[in-house]
Order: sequence, then structure tokens, then C-alpha cells
Amino acid sequence: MNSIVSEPPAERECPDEPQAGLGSSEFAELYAEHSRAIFYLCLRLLSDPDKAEDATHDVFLKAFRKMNQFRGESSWRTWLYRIAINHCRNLQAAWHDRHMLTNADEALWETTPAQTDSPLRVLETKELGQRIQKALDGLPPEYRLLLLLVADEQLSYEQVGALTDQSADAVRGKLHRARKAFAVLFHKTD
Amino acid sequence: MMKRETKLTQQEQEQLAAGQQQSRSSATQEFASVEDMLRHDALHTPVPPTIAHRLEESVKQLPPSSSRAWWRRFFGG
Repeated sequence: MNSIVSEPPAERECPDEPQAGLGSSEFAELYAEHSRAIFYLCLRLLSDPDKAEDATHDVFLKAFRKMNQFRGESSWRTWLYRIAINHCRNLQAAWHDRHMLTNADEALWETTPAQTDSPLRVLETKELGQRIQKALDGLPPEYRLLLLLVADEQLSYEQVGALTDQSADAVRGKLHRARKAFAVLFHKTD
Repeated sequence: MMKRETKLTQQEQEQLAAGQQQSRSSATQEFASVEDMLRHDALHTPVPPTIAHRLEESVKQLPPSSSRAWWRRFFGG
């Protein structure tokens, strides 16, 4: 399965071992399996590598402390995502770090020809992360979160819906608009 | 008016242009969907190794409690 972090270690393209320092415990395995997904979510939600690093640390520490409250009613991944989403929301509220667009901005992608059917092309992959961040920053927070969660193939639409307090059908319905909005904003970053 | 001389022959210029075109092509990446692009980006975004070290230190600082069993279980302490 092609997911954000589920690839076996031998296939990882990044040299750093996320679990370095945690030993070979079960918690280290949990961290190794999910830290990339959690860090990436925090990074793209907070738009700041340092804040994302702090947030990832805090999310896993919180998870460690609340481990005995985990009932197994969801997967570890969704449980960690929920902690991360709440943590990032609290941080953003505290910083008054608002990225909401106005109605006028939304009208922009509503009236821009749809580009979701055409492939997204990038010439310089080293700039890909920066362009993605700019496009995500221009999205309403709900669209940003939906796209990031749906991109994780370990999550079903039902799980994404549960994490965002809506039905799977509502997720599917909003995704089209989120993709289109992202595509419009992404092309503007070129 | 004399044609300006270049340091490259016509053949060399064509080879250079072809090389540049090939270079541009190989650098271009195409993603079928937003999700594909985000997955690619996530895979190429390294997790700072300092997080794991900080986390280990933070866990060690936690006061002994009923969760001590979890501490032992997960860190083998």
C-alpha cells in the first residue's frame, strides 16, 4: 500500500531514522510507524518546521501519557491524528494564526476554470514543498485538513469523516471543491 | 553584415539544446492528483531526528505514576 509512512524502512527515501533514540520498544515502533505522517500533518497545518517539530514531540508525549486510555475503538493512526489535529488547532488559536480566506478569495477559484482533471506539473522538485505550502496556506482550514488526511491512504473516507466531524459523503462532496481550490492556488505559485 | 561567430559548431549547439531539453524533461514531475503530490511530498519530507531524542528525554522526566507500567512496557525501563 502506498501511504505516507507505511513503507518498509528499506524503502524510505529519507536517510534519517525517525525512531533514533527511542530504542526498540513498542512505543518506538509506534513512533517509527506514524511519526512521518504526524510530522507532515503538523508541518503543513502550522507552516513552520520548528513549530511542527515541537508539535510532533508534544503529540507523541501526550499519546504516551494517555496510552492507557486508548480503547482500540479506532486505529492508532486515527487516534494520533486526532491528538495532532486538536493540538495544532489549539496552537493556531493561541497564535491567532489565521489563514482563512475571504469570500472574495473563494470566488476566485469558483470562477477559475477547473484544472483538477489535468495533471499537476512541477519543474523543480526542490521547490515542491514550498509551493505546496503556499497553496495549502491559501485554502480554508477545512479544505487543507481534508486534503492532507485523504492523501494518507491508510485512512478511509469514514475515518477522515470521523476525524473532521462529518459523514464520509460530506467528505467526498467537499473534496472536489478542495482539489479544485488547491489546483488553482498551486498554479498561481508557479 | 557578417554572421556573428559562436564558439560552438551547429552540431554542438544542437547537442546542447537536446541535452537541455532532456534535462528539463527529466526534472519535470507530473502528478495525477493533489493527493499523489502530497504523498510524494510527505515521502520526501524527513522527520527531524531530534524529535525522538527530545521525546525520550521528556518521557524520562515524567513522574512515576500508575502509568509507570506503560513506561516500562514501552521503553523497557
